[in-house]
Amino acid sequence: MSSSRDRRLLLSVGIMVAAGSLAGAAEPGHYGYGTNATPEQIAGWDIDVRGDDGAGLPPGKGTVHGGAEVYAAQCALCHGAFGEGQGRFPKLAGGAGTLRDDRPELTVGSYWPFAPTLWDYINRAMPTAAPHTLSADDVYALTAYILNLNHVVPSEFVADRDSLPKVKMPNRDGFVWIDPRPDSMAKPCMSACADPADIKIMSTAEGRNLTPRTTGPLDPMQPK
Amino acid sequence: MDGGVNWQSARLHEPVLSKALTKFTLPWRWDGQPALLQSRVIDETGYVQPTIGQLRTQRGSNSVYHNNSIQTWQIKPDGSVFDVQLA
Repeated sequence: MSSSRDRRLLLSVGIMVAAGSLAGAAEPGHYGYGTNATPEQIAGWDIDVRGDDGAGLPPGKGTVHGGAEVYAAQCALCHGAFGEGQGRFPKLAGGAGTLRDDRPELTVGSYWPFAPTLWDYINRAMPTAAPHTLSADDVYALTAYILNLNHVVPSEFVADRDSLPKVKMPNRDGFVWIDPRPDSMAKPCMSACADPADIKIMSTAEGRNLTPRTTGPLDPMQPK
Repeated sequence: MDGGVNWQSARLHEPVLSKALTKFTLPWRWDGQPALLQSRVIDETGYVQPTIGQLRTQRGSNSVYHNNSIQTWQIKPDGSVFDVQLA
């Protein structure tokens, strides 16, 4: 493991040296590689959608029934046909009234405060093996379907940039919206802040094979 | 470098913005000994990033989301690095 990491380090150093020699003498304050981001490239990365008012939602729309088809093809394998989850893959529906339990079921219906956030999450992160590959219409349709699975919207609901911010989520009023800080008593100590004898490793990632894979489909982050 | 016993101020790099990831540097020459690397932030309101223990004392162990506690990286003498959690 460590030998392959060493090779990667050597390879990246080699690339940097080559890039430096191609670019010739770098300008002061620059490393001599890379280009300025174009407006189109920035637009490709500017995908965030604000939860409470849906700012950033793009044009497009989708129905509950349309979402059922996309869901069956893209989502059901992990999340179950009706959002019930499979194994360690999370439930998308249900869990109402469990937030104070020892094992709360945090789903779109039981927990999430804003419907536009569901659009944002699906758009940026799903499906997990190929994130950010769905069209805006497909994401709207999935959002409508999952909201309907949670009985938050009726089956004739059409999700778009105007309708999603108006959806009242069941747990909308279950959050504290004022800044709760400081919520820990940490002090700005700089020296002798702890007794070295008290510092113990309680858990470690070593040997658990948790490092994500570094190959597979890459997201080119093109504007939709 | 010692799991939170002693801290040094790091240099921040622009842009330094509220609620935003901020680059910083702190030169460190590894002496080949085991180390526990941590970084801790104090924001513009004086809030000090908590340890995982301080966070658990305040929120309990079932907080699920919004874990903003200090992250620890264990450096072993062979140079390997692991994500660890301290008491």
